[in-house]
Amino acid sequence: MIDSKSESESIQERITPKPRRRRSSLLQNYKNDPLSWSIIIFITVFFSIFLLVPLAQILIVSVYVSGEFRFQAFEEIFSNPTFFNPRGDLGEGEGGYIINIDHRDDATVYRIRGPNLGILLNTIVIGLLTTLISIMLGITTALLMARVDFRGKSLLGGLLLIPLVLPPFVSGVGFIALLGDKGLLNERFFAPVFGFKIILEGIAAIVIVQSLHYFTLIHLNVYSSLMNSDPSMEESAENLGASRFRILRTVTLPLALPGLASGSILVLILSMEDLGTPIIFAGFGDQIAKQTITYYIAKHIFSDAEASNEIAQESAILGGILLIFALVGFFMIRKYVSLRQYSMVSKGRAGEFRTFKPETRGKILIYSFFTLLLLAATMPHIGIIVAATTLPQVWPLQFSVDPFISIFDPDSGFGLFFTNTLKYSLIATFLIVILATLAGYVANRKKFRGQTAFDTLVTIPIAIPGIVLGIGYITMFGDSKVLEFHRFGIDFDGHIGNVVLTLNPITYAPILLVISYTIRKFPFTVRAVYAGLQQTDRVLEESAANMGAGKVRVIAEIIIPLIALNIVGGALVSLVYNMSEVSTTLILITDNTHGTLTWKMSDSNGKIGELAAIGVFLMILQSLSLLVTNLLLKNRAEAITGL
Amino acid sequence: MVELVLEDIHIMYDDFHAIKGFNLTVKDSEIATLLGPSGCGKTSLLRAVAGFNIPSSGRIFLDDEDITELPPQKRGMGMIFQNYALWPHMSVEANIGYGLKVRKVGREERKKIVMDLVKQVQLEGHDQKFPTQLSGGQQQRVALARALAISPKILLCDEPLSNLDFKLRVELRTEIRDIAKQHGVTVVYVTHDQTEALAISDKVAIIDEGTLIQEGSPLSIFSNPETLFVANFVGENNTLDATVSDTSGKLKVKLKSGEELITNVTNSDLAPGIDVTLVTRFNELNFAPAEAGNQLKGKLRHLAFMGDFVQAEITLHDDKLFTVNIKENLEKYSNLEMGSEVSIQIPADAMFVFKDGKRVV
Repeated sequence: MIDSKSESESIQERITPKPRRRRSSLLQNYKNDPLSWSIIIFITVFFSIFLLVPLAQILIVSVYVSGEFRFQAFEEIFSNPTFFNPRGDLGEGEGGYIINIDHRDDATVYRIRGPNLGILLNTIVIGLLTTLISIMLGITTALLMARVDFRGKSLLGGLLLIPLVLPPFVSGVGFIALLGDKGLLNERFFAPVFGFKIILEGIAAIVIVQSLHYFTLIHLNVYSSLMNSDPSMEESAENLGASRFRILRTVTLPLALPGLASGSILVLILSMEDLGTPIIFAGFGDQIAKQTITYYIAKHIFSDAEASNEIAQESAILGGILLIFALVGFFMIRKYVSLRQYSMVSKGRAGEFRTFKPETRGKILIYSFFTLLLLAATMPHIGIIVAATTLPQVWPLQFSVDPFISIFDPDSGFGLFFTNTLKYSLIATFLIVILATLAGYVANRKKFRGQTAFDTLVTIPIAIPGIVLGIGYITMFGDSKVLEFHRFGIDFDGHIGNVVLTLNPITYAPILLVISYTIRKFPFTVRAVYAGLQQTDRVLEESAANMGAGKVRVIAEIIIPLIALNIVGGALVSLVYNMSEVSTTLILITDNTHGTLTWKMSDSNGKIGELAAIGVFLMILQSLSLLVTNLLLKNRAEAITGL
Repeated sequence: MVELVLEDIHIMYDDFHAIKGFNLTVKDSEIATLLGPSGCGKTSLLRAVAGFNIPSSGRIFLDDEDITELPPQKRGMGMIFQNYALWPHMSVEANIGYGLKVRKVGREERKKIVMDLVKQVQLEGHDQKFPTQLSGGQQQRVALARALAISPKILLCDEPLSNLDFKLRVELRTEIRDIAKQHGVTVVYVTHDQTEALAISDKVAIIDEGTLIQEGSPLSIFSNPETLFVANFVGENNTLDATVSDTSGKLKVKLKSGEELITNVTNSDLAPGIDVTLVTRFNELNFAPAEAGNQLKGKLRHLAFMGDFVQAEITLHDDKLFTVNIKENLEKYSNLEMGSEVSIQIPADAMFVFKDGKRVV
């Protein structure tokens, strides 16, 4: 969506901007509006300690190790084919290929793998390919849904949200259950009926699994741009004699471009920082899926040599690269979208969009496209449900609740993981609701020097790779002599000493985890609050102030009742993403007793039944949350999922 | 006693000087209107009085107290907004009673005050409705009641009628004036509609490009405009360029067409050859009997029937368009052929003469 802070700076605000005023002292500022300033100060301090400084640490650690500047690791990374291998000429087994055909006795096996260009390039290729495929799928679905007339659209609108209820790494489990070497579809359908098997692995597997999830983000962003534009824009082009295709090319798509752009950057960032999907495929023995930045960091975060919890320089460098990609994308899209505020050019909209009514042949094409897409996109769901409820490798399928019994076994610790997941997610979401509502209000409504910076601060975490924040916490709060130079702050153990901070990531992992959840999923609620405030005329606050209501009263009696739905909706989205969080959780949690569902999934190597059973649990939790969000927000829900 | 004093107010935005040194005094129980075209700065000024803007320099005094930087909620002023600004999640009663609740007025007394106001603004039976269930006019009545409920020191009105249709506008402006007078409240009213300003105000302040141009009673503004801008802004006018031809007695001016008009300007330093601008009101002109002096000739271009008068558009000899509102002998003139030659009588006292935008008398 394009409603970054600049969109909420609505027309009205430009008509009645706050005048430039005499510069008053900081103290005076504070006294005039203590509530807003307390929020600004608290959030700034909180985000500095738990977001900015840890991230800065990564950049520092990538060049400054053991008290001196070292750059060998960079040379190492760019000269070692494991990291950087643009020619893709690794040997058998490690090497990449697009497709490999193996004639076995029972069936011909088509292995689709993709290249292996080394960890660094693999991650970039995965990001770009996933984004590209998501864009193609998302634009097609959005255009068809928004501008073409055919039956069953409202049903399709709902079906297209299905991918959202499974995080990509759970989808991975579903894919393996169906399309693995022993997968149900391969073993019981393709091989016996057609005599072949299709096996997805490596980059190809990750890209396909991610694309079938993330295209929905593009779809939602573009669709809402298309629906929010003014029908008369297209009508006037038509009226001037433009052909249907010309209108699409010169009016419709350009108007949807900001939504497309911000959706795409989000997909790029999420795809590159995804740790769960590579881990799941790697867990089933896929060697190439291990060749990604996130997987490498998760496995090699601590230097092997010193066996301490000093961050390996390579990890810091790779994390830094991910971070820089994310930040550049984030700021580019900010700049770009703020230059193109189309949605506010015309306010009232007249009539409905003129839709294209396809002939029979067109309809067949459309229905075939959606059928294929939905089959592919729901495959993971079917896969995990089947795997969780049947006996493995038994044909015909035999119903069984063994996987559930197995995960509910007191020894498996599932109950604990389940409680931990809910506990961490709910605490974080609770903090988010309170802080993000206040911060969103201040960032959107209060004019102060540094407002843009503050707005950036509370919305940027959406772009921060979780794994990077995770290693940031370890470098910052970790207990390592080598890193003493970087440490500062409060001592939770009561040692103040030489300003050594030990919010030890091992002992205090759950605290750090909840904080990281709070910060990283903060933007979803902030953006929901923005969306609500945008529909709430500022005059409503002014008239309350005019009637004598102070700031607290205005927020409590006017703002919160008016945007309550948005807050709840945003909080649910934050909750969903908290429950399915993988990367920070995996980096920070080292102890069984603090594990979460996703942590457990990444740990249960290849036991597909259990994985799928946990996946089903996550799916149910997420479906419920998203269902409620959609019921509450209706078509406003998209506003939350963009940058 | 209430007295509002604006003293040398400047309001600057980043790249825009919206108000440039504005002075105004509004007296107790006075209805003062800030009138000007859109973008002239009148709303900025009103918002400064309300406390939503803090002027870049200058002071605002209310009863000798400097309130320039006082937060809006401490000013005790009621305000009504162009788009009503009613809280959609509160009933009419809750909206009107809000300010009293903030002031910790007890439930019963609050109810009494609210119901009394509901009656005054003719909304009996609507008090439990929500704003979306009301028409625009009703919503603005609620807003008026809400503003008056706190017995404001000053009632601020920010173009309160511009979202309403014409008939309702006329109706409601009378109502606002009556209720304000009943309550004896001091009003600062912002509008771009000159008819509304003249109808409602005790005092009109005309603003252009952030500067006070003229201040006075509606009558003095209308009949005695000090500048070309005011003359043009108030009333419907024809504007003619002319050159001074004779200053010996009453000022004589010559139009480009060669026609000469006598004005009633006497006391001036104008010399022959100087360029001036003449302004005449549509309403003060008529088609001339053949023998009368001070005439302009032209060809009839269009006759528009306006109800109780006929508006005639005439092309003058120098191709300028000229408009006359004819109120007499309508039948006779209605039969005139388009293109026929007509003469317009311009009484000397119906002409305002301006030199460099300033009035000369």
